[in-house]
Amino acid sequence: MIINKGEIHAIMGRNGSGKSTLSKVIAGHPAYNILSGDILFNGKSILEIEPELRAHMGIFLAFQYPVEIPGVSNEDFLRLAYNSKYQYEGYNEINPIDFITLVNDKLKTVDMDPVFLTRNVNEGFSGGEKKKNEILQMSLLDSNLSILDETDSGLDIDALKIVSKGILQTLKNKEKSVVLITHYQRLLDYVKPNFIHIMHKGSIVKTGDATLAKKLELTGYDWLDDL
Amino acid sequence: MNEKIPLLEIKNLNVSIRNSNIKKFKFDYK
Repeated sequence: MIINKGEIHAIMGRNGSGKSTLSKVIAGHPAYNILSGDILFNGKSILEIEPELRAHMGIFLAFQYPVEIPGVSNEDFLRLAYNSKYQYEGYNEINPIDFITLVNDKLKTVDMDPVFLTRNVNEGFSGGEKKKNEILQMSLLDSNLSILDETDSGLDIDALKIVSKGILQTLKNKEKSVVLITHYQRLLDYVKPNFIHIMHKGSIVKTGDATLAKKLELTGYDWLDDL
Repeated sequence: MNEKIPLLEIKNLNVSIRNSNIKKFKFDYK
């Protein structure tokens, strides 16, 4: 599986087929052992690289279930994450006032009220607000590879459009790539992937274009059992 | 057509779950 710069890939498959595991393994989740094979990012193996360093290098994972962090304000969290990544890239730390200007601009992209900056990270957020907050992080960190793990699940139609707009905004930079893990065609109506991969029992068993998602909508996954 | 520059490459990745009750479960990404 190769994801080139500027490409959008979608990964679909039954629950438990390994989609989220793949995303976590790419991000460096410590719960997994790599038995064999390799993951190359910009041509270099990242298997021995810690997850935070992978994030600094440009890998972003939007969680399927965003975590609540009581006692930490969203603004502090976002600013520290932003500074951490950009200091790794050799830039100076942004001061809090300049950061507010920056983040307010990004908030408009995801149609979030600035009051969400003062609240604790994801605490008491609705499902849609949590997902928008993930897209806000993605937009701020401006990572080269963004993996969105079922970011569209649980969104109403308006929130789905907003999240899609945020993804498309990121993709205006032709160097950026996105992996969409999704169960639904509806996200792919807004963010059109170059490739769709189907996972089944831990393997990518089929790769195709947008018509593959439409086939899944019509037929489900039963035909995978015959492969 | 634009030149394709690989950003991420998954190469025959074989993964097991660490510290799990599921001892033999593994994924094989091809």
